[in-house]
Amino acid sequence: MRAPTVLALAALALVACRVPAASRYEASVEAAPAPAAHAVHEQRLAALMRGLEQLRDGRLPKALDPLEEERRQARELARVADAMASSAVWIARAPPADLDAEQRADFEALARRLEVQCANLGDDAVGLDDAGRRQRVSEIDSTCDACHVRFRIPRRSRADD
Amino acid sequence: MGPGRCVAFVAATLCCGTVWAETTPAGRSLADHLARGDELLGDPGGARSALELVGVDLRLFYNQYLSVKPSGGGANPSRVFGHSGSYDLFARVDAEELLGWPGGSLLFHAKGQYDRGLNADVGALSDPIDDADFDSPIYVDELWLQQAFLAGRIRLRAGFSEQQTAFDRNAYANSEDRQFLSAFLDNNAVLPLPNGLAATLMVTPTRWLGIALGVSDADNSPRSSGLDTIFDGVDSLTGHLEATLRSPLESRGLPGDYRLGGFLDGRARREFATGRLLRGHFGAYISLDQRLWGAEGRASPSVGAFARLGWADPDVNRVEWFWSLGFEWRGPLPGRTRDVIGVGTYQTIGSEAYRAAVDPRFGRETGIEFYYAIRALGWLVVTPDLQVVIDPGATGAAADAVVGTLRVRVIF
Repeated sequence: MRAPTVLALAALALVACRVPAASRYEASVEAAPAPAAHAVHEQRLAALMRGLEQLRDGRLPKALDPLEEERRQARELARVADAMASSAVWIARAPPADLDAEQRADFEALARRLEVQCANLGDDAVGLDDAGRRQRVSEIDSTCDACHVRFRIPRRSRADD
Repeated sequence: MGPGRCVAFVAATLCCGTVWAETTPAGRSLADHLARGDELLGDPGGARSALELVGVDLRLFYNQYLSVKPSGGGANPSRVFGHSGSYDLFARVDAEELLGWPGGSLLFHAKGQYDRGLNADVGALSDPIDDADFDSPIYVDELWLQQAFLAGRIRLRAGFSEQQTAFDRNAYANSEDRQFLSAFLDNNAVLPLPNGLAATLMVTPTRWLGIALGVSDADNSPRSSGLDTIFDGVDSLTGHLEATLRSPLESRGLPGDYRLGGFLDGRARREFATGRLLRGHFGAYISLDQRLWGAEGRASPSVGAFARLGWADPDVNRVEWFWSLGFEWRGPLPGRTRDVIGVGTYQTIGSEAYRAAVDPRFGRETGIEFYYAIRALGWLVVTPDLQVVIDPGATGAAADAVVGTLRVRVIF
């Protein structure tokens, strides 16, 4: 079979097999229950921060432009932060069942703080420098810890990573 | 590539573009996707995002070079056209995300290329098109594992690797794919940077200092696994030791790195005076980059400078000294923040021992290069490039050469 024929058939196969518009990532986090999405986002946020912090000293392959990689990963960070803000809305609506009124108010306040911090990071991640992003993620981390220590299973601190 | 293949390639690309555009989260149109996307393939079927979610980052690049040498050069002083191309496929794996293996990562880099370039016609010590090396449809260029300890302050990398990604790096002059085309503006001419089995230890004890220590197989044949040569003796290993100091201007928003290194060359080199084959030759080098001006944010318009200096044992190396310097201007025109202009020059300085024993004519080769990388689209970079090589080959036998090149880079 000649190369043009193979390419044309491959192209037709791709057209025939096209999938719905939403990416698998968005589908997975949108479809999952809020706590699961929350955990997925948190892990993804940590991985993206690891990636961003390694850009400078990571000794990337020469074909990769560190500045373009930073831009790319910062955009992904913004996307994940926005998704995390969305899942925080659901967390506020689903507090643990055994809370009294005061605890419930504290829980909701922490969830709202998380939502605002993540939304702000989503807005600003691309424009921030390394230190600025680290500061914002650290603030989110503190909110996560504050909530988990009181109301959830304590998380492993990112400082231990 | 015949006309039929060209048509099929374009048709397939457009079909793929249609599919990918419809699978992006925002449901962009094809035109919008092509105009605004940073990768031609976008997020096909959500596959890219799904892979990233589990810690796998796939990247594919293609570079095409079209060159002309109107006159000058060594082997062929007449007008010459040349072309070459290469692709790079990278799979980077964050093992912590994929396998829950803290601090682990892996890189797989496959490459393919063809060479109908004019490097041989120019006859310079530095290849004007560094990327044009040989014909090979596919080979493994890098495959290594890396383990980080103490929150990344210590990293150990082992496997098949390009040592030029670990040593003699430079922010403004280190990639023929996206910066200067000339080999001697990508790396230091006197520095051996093997591509083969290697181990590298990278330590960052403080924010302002990094130290890298590497050993690599000096005898690896190109595109071979290296298993047949890595164990043939400690004296055939090449060693590097490099210290990187962060610029004191970094706190003022002007990042820079100052690298000072030494190497022990494990290749067997013939001593000019005696003809004996010897291994274990020392050398030293410096590689500096410094942002000189720029607005806040690393991706903002900026001007940076680079410089390199190197020395190698003149008893076995015909080039004893090397230097290069130049500038990069990112975002040079209003509204063109991702375009890049680069200008640089290098010079090799011959060894007195080589002149005395082998070729009394051997002196200096000087190169000057200018490029303008136009980010035509997010996924398409078109780079007109002009080089002048003065005394190519450094023997005075060849006329000065001018080489014009158009590089087209596609990010898939």
